[in-house]
Amino acid sequence: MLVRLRGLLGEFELRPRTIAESTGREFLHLDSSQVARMLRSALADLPDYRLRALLHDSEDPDARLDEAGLVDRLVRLIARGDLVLLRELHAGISPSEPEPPEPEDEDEVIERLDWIEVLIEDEAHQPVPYIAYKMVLPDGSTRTGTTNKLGIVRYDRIPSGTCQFTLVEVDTKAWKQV
Amino acid sequence: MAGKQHAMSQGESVESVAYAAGHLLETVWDAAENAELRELRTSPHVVHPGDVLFVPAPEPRDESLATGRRHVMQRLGIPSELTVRFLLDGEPRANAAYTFVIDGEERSGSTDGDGWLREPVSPLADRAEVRFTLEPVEDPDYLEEPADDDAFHEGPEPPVEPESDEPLEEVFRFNLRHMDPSTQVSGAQGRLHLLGYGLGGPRGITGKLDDPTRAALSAFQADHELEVTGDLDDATKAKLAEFTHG
Repeated sequence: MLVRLRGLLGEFELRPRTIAESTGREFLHLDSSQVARMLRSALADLPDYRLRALLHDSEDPDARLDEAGLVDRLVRLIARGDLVLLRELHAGISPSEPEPPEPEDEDEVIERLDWIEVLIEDEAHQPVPYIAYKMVLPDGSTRTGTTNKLGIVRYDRIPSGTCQFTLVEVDTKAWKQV
Repeated sequence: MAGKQHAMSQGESVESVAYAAGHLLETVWDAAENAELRELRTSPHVVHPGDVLFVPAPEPRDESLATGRRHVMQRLGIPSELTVRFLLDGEPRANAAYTFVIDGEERSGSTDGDGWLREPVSPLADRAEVRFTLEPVEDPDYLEEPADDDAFHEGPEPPVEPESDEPLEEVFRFNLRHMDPSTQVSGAQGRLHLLGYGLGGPRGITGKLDDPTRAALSAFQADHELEVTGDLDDATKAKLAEFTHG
Protein backbone atom coordinates (compact mmCIF):
# COMPACT_ATOMS: atom_id res chain seq x y z
CA MET A 1 0.00 0.00 0.00
CA LEU A 2 1.23 3.43 -0.76
CA VAL A 3 -0.19 6.89 -0.58
CA ARG A 4 0.52 9.55 -3.10
CA LEU A 5 0.71 12.99 -1.63
CA ARG A 6 0.89 16.38 -3.25
CA GLY A 7 2.34 19.09 -1.12
CA LEU A 8 4.35 22.24 -1.23
CA LEU A 9 7.39 20.29 -2.27
CA GLY A 10 5.71 18.52 -5.16
CA GLU A 11 4.46 14.92 -5.51
CA PHE A 12 5.82 12.14 -3.40
CA GLU A 13 4.90 8.77 -2.01
CA LEU A 14 4.52 7.55 1.52
CA ARG A 15 5.12 3.78 1.77
CA PRO A 16 5.87 1.12 4.30
CA ARG A 17 9.58 0.44 4.24
CA THR A 18 8.94 -3.27 3.65
CA ILE A 19 7.54 -2.71 0.19
CA ALA A 20 9.66 0.22 -0.73
CA GLU A 21 10.74 -0.31 -4.29
CA SER A 22 12.82 2.63 -5.21
CA THR A 23 13.48 2.22 -8.91
CA GLY A 24 13.09 5.58 -10.56
CA ARG A 25 12.61 7.26 -7.23
CA GLU A 26 14.76 8.80 -4.59
CA PHE A 27 14.38 8.75 -0.84
CA LEU A 28 13.68 12.02 0.85
CA HIS A 29 15.73 12.47 3.97
CA LEU A 30 14.09 15.18 6.00
CA ASP A 31 14.13 16.04 9.64
CA SER A 32 10.96 15.67 11.72
CA SER A 33 9.90 19.28 11.51
CA GLN A 34 10.25 19.26 7.74
CA VAL A 35 8.18 16.04 7.49
CA ALA A 36 5.45 17.45 9.72
CA ARG A 37 5.24 20.64 7.73
CA MET A 38 5.04 18.73 4.48
CA LEU A 39 2.41 16.27 5.71
CA ARG A 40 0.09 18.94 7.08
CA SER A 41 -0.14 20.55 3.69
CA ALA A 42 -0.51 17.23 1.89
CA LEU A 43 -3.08 15.38 4.03
CA ALA A 44 -5.86 17.94 3.80
CA ASP A 45 -7.87 16.28 1.01
CA LEU A 46 -6.60 12.71 1.24
CA PRO A 47 -9.27 9.92 1.52
CA ASP A 48 -9.25 8.34 4.98
CA TYR A 49 -9.23 4.74 3.81
CA ARG A 50 -5.90 5.06 2.07
CA LEU A 51 -4.19 6.34 5.15
CA ARG A 52 -5.91 3.67 7.26
CA ALA A 53 -4.61 0.99 4.91
CA LEU A 54 -1.16 2.52 5.04
CA LEU A 55 -1.13 2.62 8.80
CA HIS A 56 -2.31 -0.98 8.91
CA ASP A 57 0.56 -2.01 6.69
CA SER A 58 2.81 -0.14 9.02
CA GLU A 59 1.73 -2.28 11.96
CA ASP A 60 -0.25 0.45 13.53
CA PRO A 61 -3.78 -0.92 12.86
CA ASP A 62 -5.27 0.74 15.87
CA ALA A 63 -4.30 4.12 14.80
CA ARG A 64 -7.13 6.54 14.77
CA LEU A 65 -7.34 9.07 12.06
CA ASP A 66 -8.19 12.00 14.22
CA GLU A 67 -6.56 14.94 12.73
CA ALA A 68 -4.89 16.11 15.89
CA GLY A 69 -2.53 13.14 16.23
CA LEU A 70 -2.24 11.93 12.66
CA VAL A 71 0.70 13.99 11.56
CA ASP A 72 2.62 13.26 14.74
CA ARG A 73 2.09 9.51 14.34
CA LEU A 74 3.20 9.57 10.72
CA VAL A 75 6.28 11.55 11.65
CA ARG A 76 7.11 9.01 14.35
CA LEU A 77 6.68 6.12 11.91
CA ILE A 78 8.91 7.84 9.36
CA ALA A 79 11.51 8.57 12.01
CA ARG A 80 11.40 4.93 13.12
CA GLY A 81 11.87 3.82 9.51
CA ASP A 82 8.55 1.99 9.21
CA LEU A 83 7.38 4.46 6.60
CA VAL A 84 9.49 6.05 3.93
CA LEU A 85 9.05 9.06 1.72
CA LEU A 86 10.02 8.74 -1.91
CA ARG A 87 9.95 11.17 -4.72
CA GLU A 88 10.04 10.39 -8.38
CA LEU A 89 13.30 11.55 -9.86
CA HIS A 90 13.06 15.06 -11.36
CA ALA A 91 9.45 15.18 -10.24
CA GLY A 92 9.77 17.77 -7.56
CA ILE A 93 11.95 20.26 -5.78
CA SER A 94 14.39 19.20 -3.12
CA PRO A 95 13.86 21.09 0.08
CA SER A 96 17.55 21.26 0.88
CA GLU A 97 19.29 21.56 -2.45
CA PRO A 98 18.88 24.23 -5.09
CA GLU A 99 17.57 23.16 -8.41
CA PRO A 100 20.46 22.10 -10.60
CA PRO A 101 21.26 24.53 -13.39
CA GLU A 102 19.97 23.82 -16.83
CA PRO A 103 22.42 21.96 -19.01
CA GLU A 104 24.47 24.44 -21.00
CA ASP A 105 24.94 24.34 -24.69
CA GLU A 106 28.39 24.76 -26.21
CA ASP A 107 28.09 28.50 -26.84
CA GLU A 108 27.30 29.14 -23.20
CA VAL A 109 30.36 27.14 -22.10
CA ILE A 110 32.62 29.38 -24.18
CA GLU A 111 31.05 32.53 -22.73
CA ARG A 112 31.74 31.32 -19.24
CA LEU A 113 35.49 30.96 -19.81
CA ASP A 114 37.30 33.50 -17.71
CA TRP A 115 40.33 35.82 -17.83
CA ILE A 116 42.85 37.49 -15.54
CA GLU A 117 45.18 40.46 -15.96
CA VAL A 118 48.02 41.63 -13.74
CA LEU A 119 49.82 44.96 -14.12
CA ILE A 120 53.20 45.42 -12.45
CA GLU A 121 54.07 49.04 -11.79
CA ASP A 122 56.73 50.89 -9.84
CA GLU A 123 56.21 53.37 -7.02
CA ALA A 124 55.86 56.18 -9.57
CA HIS A 125 53.03 54.18 -11.21
CA GLN A 126 55.10 53.45 -14.29
CA PRO A 127 54.82 49.94 -15.77
CA VAL A 128 57.61 47.48 -15.03
CA PRO A 129 58.31 45.51 -18.21
CA TYR A 130 60.01 42.13 -18.53
CA ILE A 131 59.77 41.09 -14.88
CA ALA A 132 59.59 37.33 -14.29
CA TYR A 133 56.42 35.79 -12.83
CA LYS A 134 54.75 32.45 -12.20
CA MET A 135 50.99 31.98 -12.21
CA VAL A 136 49.14 28.82 -11.19
CA LEU A 137 45.70 28.85 -12.84
CA PRO A 138 42.51 27.57 -11.14
CA ASP A 139 42.85 24.23 -12.95
CA GLY A 140 46.30 23.72 -11.40
CA SER A 141 48.27 24.38 -14.57
CA THR A 142 51.32 26.64 -14.28
CA ARG A 143 52.28 29.54 -16.53
CA THR A 144 55.65 31.29 -16.36
CA GLY A 145 57.08 34.22 -18.29
CA THR A 146 57.82 37.92 -18.05
CA THR A 147 55.52 40.91 -18.19
CA ASN A 148 55.24 42.54 -21.60
CA LYS A 149 56.64 45.96 -22.45
CA LEU A 150 53.58 47.53 -20.84
CA GLY A 151 54.19 45.62 -17.60
CA ILE A 152 51.14 43.39 -18.15
CA VAL A 153 50.42 39.67 -17.81
CA ARG A 154 47.07 38.53 -19.22
CA TYR A 155 45.45 35.16 -19.74
CA ASP A 156 42.12 34.66 -21.50
CA ARG A 157 39.90 31.60 -21.78
CA ILE A 158 40.89 30.18 -18.43
CA PRO A 159 38.69 28.49 -15.82
CA SER A 160 37.08 30.71 -13.22
CA GLY A 161 38.50 30.70 -9.71
CA THR A 162 41.62 31.82 -7.93
CA CYS A 163 45.12 32.05 -9.40
CA GLN A 164 48.34 31.96 -7.39
CA PHE A 165 50.67 34.69 -8.61
CA THR A 166 54.37 35.12 -7.76
CA LEU A 167 57.12 37.46 -8.86
CA VAL A 168 59.67 34.71 -8.83
CA GLU A 169 62.82 36.82 -8.55
CA VAL A 170 61.53 39.41 -6.10
CA ASP A 171 61.73 39.23 -2.32
CA THR A 172 58.47 39.21 -0.38
CA LYS A 173 59.17 42.69 1.04
CA ALA A 174 59.87 44.23 -2.36
CA TRP A 175 56.38 44.02 -3.90
CA LYS A 176 52.78 44.36 -2.79
CA GLN A 177 49.26 44.24 -4.14
CA VAL A 178 47.76 47.68 -4.68
CA MET B 1 70.50 33.67 6.88
CA ALA B 2 70.91 32.18 3.42
CA GLY B 3 72.59 34.41 0.90
CA LYS B 4 75.93 35.18 -0.71
CA GLN B 5 78.84 37.56 -0.40
CA HIS B 6 79.18 40.10 -3.19
CA ALA B 7 82.38 42.02 -3.88
CA MET B 8 81.42 45.52 -5.03
CA SER B 9 82.86 46.82 -8.26
CA GLN B 10 83.06 50.31 -9.76
CA GLY B 11 79.64 51.44 -10.98
CA GLU B 12 77.72 49.44 -8.36
CA SER B 13 75.91 50.67 -5.29
CA VAL B 14 74.14 48.81 -2.52
CA GLU B 15 70.90 49.90 -4.16
CA SER B 16 71.81 48.57 -7.59
CA VAL B 17 72.98 45.24 -6.18
CA ALA B 18 69.85 44.95 -3.99
CA TYR B 19 67.57 45.73 -6.93
CA ALA B 20 69.26 43.20 -9.19
CA ALA B 21 68.84 40.57 -6.46
CA GLY B 22 65.11 41.34 -6.05
CA HIS B 23 65.48 43.18 -2.76
CA LEU B 24 64.81 46.54 -1.26
CA LEU B 25 67.98 48.47 -0.44
CA GLU B 26 67.10 48.34 3.28
CA THR B 27 66.74 44.53 3.29
CA VAL B 28 70.33 44.17 2.12
CA TRP B 29 71.98 47.07 3.93
CA ASP B 30 70.29 46.28 7.26
CA ALA B 31 71.16 42.56 7.18
CA ALA B 32 73.04 41.59 10.33
CA GLU B 33 75.88 40.24 8.20
CA ASN B 34 76.55 43.79 6.89
CA ALA B 35 77.10 45.38 10.31
CA GLU B 36 80.84 45.80 9.70
CA LEU B 37 80.32 47.43 6.31
CA ARG B 38 77.71 49.80 7.74
CA GLU B 39 80.23 50.94 10.32
CA LEU B 40 82.94 51.43 7.69
CA ARG B 41 80.91 53.27 5.04
CA THR B 42 78.07 54.88 7.04
CA SER B 43 75.99 55.34 3.84
CA PRO B 44 74.78 52.65 1.41
CA HIS B 45 75.08 55.21 -1.39
CA VAL B 46 78.85 55.51 -1.27
CA VAL B 47 80.82 52.29 -1.12
CA HIS B 48 84.19 51.39 -2.55
CA PRO B 49 85.19 48.80 -5.12
CA GLY B 50 86.24 45.69 -3.24
CA ASP B 51 83.84 46.23 -0.34
CA VAL B 52 82.08 42.94 0.41
CA LEU B 53 78.31 43.08 0.74
CA PHE B 54 76.16 40.23 2.04
CA VAL B 55 73.08 39.71 -0.17
CA PRO B 56 70.33 37.57 1.40
CA ALA B 57 68.50 35.04 -0.74
CA PRO B 58 65.11 36.51 -1.73
CA GLU B 59 62.05 34.92 -0.17
CA PRO B 60 59.26 34.50 -2.72
CA ARG B 61 55.57 34.94 -1.91
CA ASP B 62 52.26 33.95 -3.55
CA GLU B 63 49.28 36.26 -3.97
CA SER B 64 45.82 34.74 -4.48
CA LEU B 65 44.13 36.58 -7.35
CA ALA B 66 40.55 36.10 -8.55
CA THR B 67 39.84 35.60 -12.24
CA GLY B 68 37.66 38.09 -14.10
CA ARG B 69 39.61 41.04 -12.71
CA ARG B 70 42.60 43.25 -13.37
CA HIS B 71 45.07 43.29 -10.49
CA VAL B 72 47.85 45.81 -9.86
CA MET B 73 51.09 44.85 -8.15
CA GLN B 74 53.71 47.37 -7.14
CA ARG B 75 57.43 46.64 -7.28
CA LEU B 76 58.71 48.60 -4.31
CA GLY B 77 62.03 50.40 -4.16
CA ILE B 78 61.91 51.65 -7.72
CA PRO B 79 62.37 54.05 -9.30
CA SER B 80 65.48 55.38 -7.66
CA GLU B 81 66.00 59.14 -7.61
CA LEU B 82 68.94 61.14 -8.85
CA THR B 83 69.31 64.36 -6.88
CA VAL B 84 71.83 67.00 -7.83
CA ARG B 85 72.08 70.59 -6.65
CA PHE B 86 73.35 73.11 -9.15
CA LEU B 87 75.11 76.27 -8.02
CA LEU B 88 76.27 79.22 -10.05
CA ASP B 89 78.92 81.36 -8.39
CA GLY B 90 77.90 79.80 -5.10
CA GLU B 91 74.24 80.65 -5.54
CA PRO B 92 71.50 78.09 -6.24
CA ARG B 93 70.66 77.76 -9.90
CA ALA B 94 66.98 78.13 -9.10
CA ASN B 95 64.04 77.35 -11.42
CA ALA B 96 66.38 76.68 -14.31
CA ALA B 97 64.99 74.74 -17.26
CA TYR B 98 67.04 71.70 -18.23
CA THR B 99 67.08 68.72 -20.52
CA PHE B 100 67.76 65.48 -18.68
CA VAL B 101 69.05 62.45 -20.55
CA ILE B 102 69.15 59.06 -18.83
CA ASP B 103 70.25 55.95 -20.70
CA GLY B 104 69.18 57.52 -23.99
CA GLU B 105 65.77 58.76 -22.80
CA GLU B 106 65.35 62.55 -22.90
CA ARG B 107 63.11 64.57 -20.58
CA SER B 108 62.53 68.22 -19.81
CA GLY B 109 62.37 69.71 -16.36
CA SER B 110 63.50 72.55 -14.19
CA THR B 111 65.37 72.85 -10.92
CA ASP B 112 63.44 73.84 -7.83
CA GLY B 113 63.76 77.14 -6.02
CA ASP B 114 66.88 75.93 -4.26
CA GLY B 115 68.67 74.66 -7.34
CA TRP B 116 67.87 70.95 -6.88
CA LEU B 117 67.25 68.56 -9.74
CA ARG B 118 65.30 65.42 -8.77
CA GLU B 119 64.66 62.83 -11.45
CA PRO B 120 63.40 59.24 -11.18
CA VAL B 121 65.91 56.78 -12.62
CA SER B 122 66.39 53.04 -12.79
CA PRO B 123 68.64 51.71 -10.00
CA LEU B 124 70.75 50.29 -12.82
CA ALA B 125 70.96 53.46 -14.94
CA ASP B 126 74.50 54.01 -16.10
CA ARG B 127 74.95 57.59 -17.27
CA ALA B 128 73.04 60.80 -16.89
CA GLU B 129 73.39 64.10 -18.68
CA VAL B 130 71.96 67.49 -17.72
CA ARG B 131 71.89 70.31 -20.26
CA PHE B 132 71.09 73.92 -19.48
CA THR B 133 70.33 76.27 -22.33
CA LEU B 134 72.28 79.49 -21.96
CA GLU B 135 70.51 82.75 -22.72
CA PRO B 136 72.55 85.07 -24.94
CA VAL B 137 74.20 87.72 -22.81
CA GLU B 138 73.27 91.24 -23.81
CA ASP B 139 76.33 93.47 -24.05
CA PRO B 140 75.41 97.09 -23.35
CA ASP B 141 78.55 98.27 -25.19
CA TYR B 142 77.63 96.40 -28.36
CA LEU B 143 76.35 98.69 -31.13
CA GLU B 144 74.88 97.31 -34.27
CA GLU B 145 76.48 98.63 -37.41
CA PRO B 146 74.15 101.07 -39.18
CA ALA B 147 72.79 99.87 -42.45
CA ASP B 148 74.66 101.28 -45.40
CA ASP B 149 71.76 102.76 -47.28
CA ASP B 150 74.05 104.14 -49.94
CA ALA B 151 75.52 100.83 -50.81
CA PHE B 152 74.66 99.75 -54.27
CA HIS B 153 74.23 96.15 -55.04
CA GLU B 154 74.14 95.02 -58.55
CA GLY B 155 72.48 91.79 -59.32
CA PRO B 156 70.92 89.50 -56.81
CA GLU B 157 71.38 90.00 -53.10
CA PRO B 158 74.41 88.16 -51.78
CA PRO B 159 73.49 85.15 -49.67
CA VAL B 160 73.14 85.98 -46.02
CA GLU B 161 75.06 83.77 -43.68
CA PRO B 162 72.32 82.09 -41.60
CA GLU B 163 72.68 82.32 -37.86
CA SER B 164 73.04 78.98 -36.13
CA ASP B 165 69.76 77.65 -34.66
CA GLU B 166 71.67 75.59 -32.18
CA PRO B 167 71.35 77.20 -28.76
CA LEU B 168 74.33 77.45 -26.50
CA GLU B 169 74.24 74.74 -23.89
CA GLU B 170 76.06 73.95 -20.69
CA VAL B 171 76.35 70.19 -20.33
CA PHE B 172 76.98 68.13 -17.19
CA ARG B 173 77.62 64.41 -17.50
CA PHE B 174 77.48 61.94 -14.63
CA ASN B 175 78.75 58.39 -14.40
CA LEU B 176 76.30 57.07 -11.85
CA ARG B 177 77.58 55.13 -8.82
CA HIS B 178 81.18 55.93 -9.66
CA MET B 179 81.77 58.27 -6.72
CA ASP B 180 84.20 56.68 -4.28
CA PRO B 181 83.95 57.39 -0.54
CA SER B 182 85.28 60.80 0.51
CA THR B 183 87.86 59.03 2.64
CA GLN B 184 89.60 57.88 -0.54
CA VAL B 185 91.79 60.23 -2.59
CA SER B 186 89.78 59.26 -5.70
CA GLY B 187 86.57 60.14 -3.85
CA ALA B 188 87.94 63.51 -2.79
CA GLN B 189 89.07 64.20 -6.36
CA GLY B 190 85.63 63.33 -7.73
CA ARG B 191 83.95 65.77 -5.37
CA LEU B 192 86.49 68.52 -6.01
CA HIS B 193 85.97 68.09 -9.74
CA LEU B 194 82.17 68.36 -9.49
CA LEU B 195 82.46 71.34 -7.18
CA GLY B 196 84.52 73.18 -9.77
CA TYR B 197 87.97 72.93 -8.20
CA GLY B 198 90.01 72.45 -11.32
CA LEU B 199 91.69 69.10 -11.63
CA GLY B 200 91.83 69.28 -15.38
CA GLY B 201 88.54 67.39 -15.78
CA PRO B 202 87.68 63.77 -14.98
CA ARG B 203 91.16 62.72 -16.04
CA GLY B 204 92.42 64.47 -12.93
CA ILE B 205 90.78 61.72 -10.83
CA THR B 206 93.94 59.67 -10.51
CA GLY B 207 93.66 58.34 -6.99
CA LYS B 208 97.03 59.98 -6.25
CA LEU B 209 97.61 62.99 -4.00
CA ASP B 210 99.43 64.92 -6.72
CA ASP B 211 100.10 68.64 -7.02
CA PRO B 212 96.85 69.61 -8.79
CA THR B 213 94.92 67.71 -6.11
CA ARG B 214 96.82 69.45 -3.30
CA ALA B 215 96.10 72.82 -4.92
CA ALA B 216 92.41 71.98 -5.27
CA LEU B 217 92.26 70.76 -1.67
CA SER B 218 93.88 74.01 -0.48
CA ALA B 219 91.35 76.10 -2.40
CA PHE B 220 88.47 74.01 -1.05
CA GLN B 221 89.77 74.30 2.51
CA ALA B 222 90.10 78.08 2.20
CA ASP B 223 86.57 78.44 0.82
CA HIS B 224 85.11 76.38 3.66
CA GLU B 225 87.10 77.97 6.44
CA LEU B 226 89.15 74.88 7.16
CA GLU B 227 92.82 74.84 8.01
CA VAL B 228 94.61 75.06 4.67
CA THR B 229 96.90 72.01 4.61
CA GLY B 230 96.60 70.73 1.06
CA ASP B 231 96.13 67.31 2.61
CA LEU B 232 93.08 65.07 2.76
CA ASP B 233 92.76 65.41 6.52
CA ASP B 234 89.79 64.32 8.59
CA ALA B 235 88.10 67.74 8.63
CA THR B 236 88.36 67.96 4.85
CA LYS B 237 87.04 64.40 4.38
CA ALA B 238 84.05 65.22 6.57
CA LYS B 239 83.31 68.46 4.71
CA LEU B 240 83.59 66.74 1.32
CA ALA B 241 81.27 63.96 2.54
CA GLU B 242 78.53 66.52 3.13
CA PHE B 243 78.19 66.96 -0.62
CA THR B 244 77.34 63.33 -1.36
CA HIS B 245 76.11 61.94 1.95
CA GLY B 246 79.16 59.80 2.38
